[in-house]
Amino acid sequence: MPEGGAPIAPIPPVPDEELVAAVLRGEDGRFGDLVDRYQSRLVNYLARMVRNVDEAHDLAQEVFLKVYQALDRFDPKYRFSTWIFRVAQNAAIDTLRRQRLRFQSPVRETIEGEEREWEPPSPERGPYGEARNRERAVAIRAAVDELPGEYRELIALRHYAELSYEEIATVKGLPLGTVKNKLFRARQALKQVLADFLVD
Amino acid sequence: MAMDERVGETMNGDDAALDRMLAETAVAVRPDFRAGVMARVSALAAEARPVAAGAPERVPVRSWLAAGLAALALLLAAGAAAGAAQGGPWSLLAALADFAGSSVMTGAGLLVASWRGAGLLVREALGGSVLSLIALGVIVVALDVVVLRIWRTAPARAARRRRK
Repeated sequence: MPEGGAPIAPIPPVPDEELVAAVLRGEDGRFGDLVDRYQSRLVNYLARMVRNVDEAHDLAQEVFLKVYQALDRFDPKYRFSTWIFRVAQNAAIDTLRRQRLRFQSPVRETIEGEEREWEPPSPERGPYGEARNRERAVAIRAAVDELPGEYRELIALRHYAELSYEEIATVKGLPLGTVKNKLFRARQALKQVLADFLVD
Repeated sequence: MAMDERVGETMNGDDAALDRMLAETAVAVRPDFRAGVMARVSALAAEARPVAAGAPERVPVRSWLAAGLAALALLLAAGAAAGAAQGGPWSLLAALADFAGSSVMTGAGLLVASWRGAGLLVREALGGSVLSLIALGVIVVALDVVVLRIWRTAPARAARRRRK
């Protein structure tokens, strides 16, 4: 606190939409602020979607460039965050299609159709410390990767892209209730798989 | 019990632990990632933005005014230093005005001369053979087509360049 004065209120961050307007005015350097703001969330979201960190970085770079080139078509009525993650979502889907990866995994059938038994990764308890942490991280990633495509994407949007439920509903074009319900079920599935680690 | 502020839902211990575990598995962004993006953005900006904008760079009116005043002050100072005996500081301005006037007159003369030349050419073509008349017609139509094509495709080309 400064001497003899009231505490200085924290400066509110510049809204994304103002940064976009600045870039459109020709201040290209301000795009760096948007990159700073979204790079971690975008790379993490894409890493969970395409299951490859290097590819996620390349894809995130492409997403930023696409967004930059389409910036003059951004409608400030909508949130920038939902817009950029919609672009990222499309990029991830295109990549998955190209790789011919199966977007839907057997767990979807287990949860929604109850046709098949899902065999989740079963992490075993090992020695504590670093090794235990590594093991846990591997198990968590494996558990997320084994989720059905739709659940995995919702978990990625919520926990790695750090979007609110409302923002996820906008990105996915789903009703808010559906998003909450599916996320609840996705989290339940994760908790079941990671039960051993949750009691730590 | 903790509250998820975004939706106001209650969370139990397992939920909080799951949140923590998911947060722990976040990957670190490469240190050169931002620089890579900005380098490509700069390259794009250098290539596409001026074409896409299609307008000259904006210079604030204040800058134009300051430059004009500075130029006027320099002219007056130069006039005062060089030609005080030949009519004072305004003599240089008067000389410049004379120069601009004669340039305009010369330009107008050249324009008249060129139009006169074109007129002679057309008159010769019209007064000559039928073949040269047809050739003139074809040339005029071809020029029209070329101008129309440039006019109609220029905005589309600019938009394509902007999208690249």
